[in-house]
Amino acid sequence: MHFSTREKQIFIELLISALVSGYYFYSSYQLSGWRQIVGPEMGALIVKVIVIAIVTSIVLYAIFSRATLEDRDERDLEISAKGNAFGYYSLVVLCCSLVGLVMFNEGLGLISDNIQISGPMAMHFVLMALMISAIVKSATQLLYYRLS
Amino acid sequence: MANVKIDNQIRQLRFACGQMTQAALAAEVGVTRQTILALEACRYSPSLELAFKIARVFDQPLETVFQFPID
Repeated sequence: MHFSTREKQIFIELLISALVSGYYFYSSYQLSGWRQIVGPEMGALIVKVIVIAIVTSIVLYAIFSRATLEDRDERDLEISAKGNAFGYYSLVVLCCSLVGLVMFNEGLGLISDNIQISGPMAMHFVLMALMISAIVKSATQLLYYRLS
Repeated sequence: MANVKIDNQIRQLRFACGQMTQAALAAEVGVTRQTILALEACRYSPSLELAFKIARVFDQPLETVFQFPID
C-alpha cells in the first residue's frame, strides 16, 4: 500500500495524538482519579507528556516521513476542510454532552449521588473532548485521502 | 446534493500527448500527482479553474476532457 508524504504526516499526527492523550489520561487518572489536581505531580506529568510528544514526533518523522511536503493544492484544502468540519462537529457533540451531564447531575439530580462532577473532572472531560476532536479530524482526513 | 461522478478523458489525452506523465501534467497545472491520480479514477471533481487549465494543456475544449453524465 502506497502512502503519500501528506498521508504519512497525517498518520503520524494521529498516532501521536492517540498515544500522548492515552498516556496523559491514564497517568492523570492514576494520580487522583481526576478528583483533584495535585500541583507538583500534575506539573511533572504535563512536562513528561510534552517531552514524550516532542521525542515521538522527531522519531516518527525521521523514520517514516523525511520527504519534503509538496504545496497544498485544491484537493488537499478540500480534504483539510472536511477534516476540520468533522473535528468541529465532534467537539460540539462532546461539549454539549458534557453540559447535559453537568445539568442532569447538578441541576436535576437525575444521576446517582455517587457520581460527582468536580472542577478537575470537568476539566479532564473538556480536554478529552479536545483530544478526541483532534483525532477525529486527522482520521477523517486520512480516510478521505485513502478513499481517493 | 448527491455526489455525481464527472467522467474525463485525461488518461487517454495524456497518452495521445506523447505519453505525458501524471507528474508532468500535475506540474503543468500546479497540483500534486495524487490529485491527477484521483481525477483519472473519477474520485475527485475538479474546480472550474483546474478543469480549464487541464483542457488548455491538451489544447482541447472543456467538454472533450470532462463529461457530466446525463441521468
